[in-house]
Amino acid sequence: MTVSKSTAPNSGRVRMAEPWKLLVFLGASVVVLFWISLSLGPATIPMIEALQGAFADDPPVISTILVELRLPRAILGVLVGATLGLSGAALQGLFRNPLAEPGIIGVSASAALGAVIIFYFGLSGTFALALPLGGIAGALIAVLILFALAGRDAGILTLILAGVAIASLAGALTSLALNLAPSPYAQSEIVTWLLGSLADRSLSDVWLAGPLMLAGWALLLFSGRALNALSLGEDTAETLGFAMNHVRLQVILGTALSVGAAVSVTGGIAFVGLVVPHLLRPLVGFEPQRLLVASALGGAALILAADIAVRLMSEQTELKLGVLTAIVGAPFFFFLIYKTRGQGL
Amino acid sequence: MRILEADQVGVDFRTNTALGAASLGLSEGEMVGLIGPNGAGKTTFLRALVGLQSPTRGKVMFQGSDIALANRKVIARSISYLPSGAPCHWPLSVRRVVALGRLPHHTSRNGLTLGDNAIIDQVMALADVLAFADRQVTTLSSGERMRVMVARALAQSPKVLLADEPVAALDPYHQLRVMELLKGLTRDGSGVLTVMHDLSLAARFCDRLVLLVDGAIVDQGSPDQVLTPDRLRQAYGVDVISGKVGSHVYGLADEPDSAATA
Repeated sequence: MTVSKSTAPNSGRVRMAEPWKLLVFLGASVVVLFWISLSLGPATIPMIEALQGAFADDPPVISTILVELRLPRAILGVLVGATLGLSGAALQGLFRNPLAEPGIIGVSASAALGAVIIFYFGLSGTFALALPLGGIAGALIAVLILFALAGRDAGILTLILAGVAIASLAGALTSLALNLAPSPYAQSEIVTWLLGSLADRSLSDVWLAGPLMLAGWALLLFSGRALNALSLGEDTAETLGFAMNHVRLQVILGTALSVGAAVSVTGGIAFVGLVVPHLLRPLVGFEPQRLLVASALGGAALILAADIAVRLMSEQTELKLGVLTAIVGAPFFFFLIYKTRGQGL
Repeated sequence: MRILEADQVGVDFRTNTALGAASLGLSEGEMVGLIGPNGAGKTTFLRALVGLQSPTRGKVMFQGSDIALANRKVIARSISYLPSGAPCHWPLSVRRVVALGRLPHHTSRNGLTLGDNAIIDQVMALADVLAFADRQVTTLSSGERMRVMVARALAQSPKVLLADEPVAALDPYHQLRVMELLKGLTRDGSGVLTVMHDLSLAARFCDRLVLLVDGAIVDQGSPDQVLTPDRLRQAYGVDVISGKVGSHVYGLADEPDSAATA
């Protein structure tokens, strides 16, 4: 398929911002939003003082609040946001399809199922890494099924249908787990977790899932040149010296590792991987490789901003981050479908 | 000197034999046309020659060594492949598409070197696509786009170019432009093998024609030797009325025996 011409400036000329300017802007946004995220909370904390106190032998309460409560939330915002943006961009490059996204194609749902199964059998209590590993296993199975169904040059319809099927199955099995849950308490815990949120996570979540996400990023980031070559189709990419079997495996493993670990910590946060690459693509000259880092930074900025918005908007019952991104993201998906329809996709 | 050589190459898809045992040599500075009816196995043969399709039987030798055992990256520095239709899935700028041809030559992850840029400029001038260097490749006409794709293939600095129907769906002017581009490559000592359906163009530009029918090479030689009425009737099931204007040979297909029944 070919991407909508209307996504481009009208003349059909590629107008590209200086690549480094875009990255500097996105990077600066992440830093600013990270700071705002840290300074936001029920208690007003003098930030500099709290930071200094954090390294003292006997840290004051404000430092404990900052490091134990707010820091994990902000760090996870960056990690999960970057994971979703980056994996969305990489999957879109691999499938050469602007609608490929961990949420839409069922990878997030399967990762959630993996984590729910771990919850359900109480494995996370006995073995801390079990939760992220469960998420990764779920994500991996989803990407492999997806590739078997809609791999090589399949149309957009096959890809989306395969995603719907995978998400339905994962959803059904998740419901089954809820249905058979031993207690209403366990049930509500799972449901709340599934909604997707950065609240009440701890530094140990960061230590558990962070390295797995970073490993996934490395795989995805190093696929950039191959994804550029893939713009010209699989045969041409292969004759440009890229072994497609390796490239596929690299992106599949990278997505499974990073998205699986991310979902296991925060639950499902939809549409970030769709929206961010779509908005940034024209700014990087539609080049898959340049889109990767830009989308990672953009995703981190978006999740931090959304998480800040969630905290500012909710008074008593906290609005869940995953709920907000879905409410904003789904209409965006409608808009994308509206724009790309009738183009032989 | 022979650069690329197919030795009794056969390809089976399950029980179906797409290619029997095809042997072919491509030498430096030579332009060879691969002709034959639809479904004869031309694309399969081309894909086997560039190592995209592993042969069920026989082997393909590139500069004396088996292509199946060679490193993809090394092969990519010498053999460039132009698939039919030459798709581009993102609206990249023309210059960036041409630059993709330099990927096999990058030793590090660094971007384009000065040398790369000089080669890109050169092949873009050669293919006459500099005028729309900044345009999105998806907004070009199919003729312009094919020239961009040829420039991309030339940017690979290939010793061998394998092209699958590079002039299908182009108007006569662009057909000539693209064929001249390919021919120009042979003057620099590269070998070109191209799948053709337009027999007049094939006769005009190719040094040698290879006629493939039902997965078997039934004839190869100079255009005059291969493009005989008997051969064409046998291969394509048509009668060909041919003639000459100046030095150019042309042929017109006609349904068999239509003259007799008319």
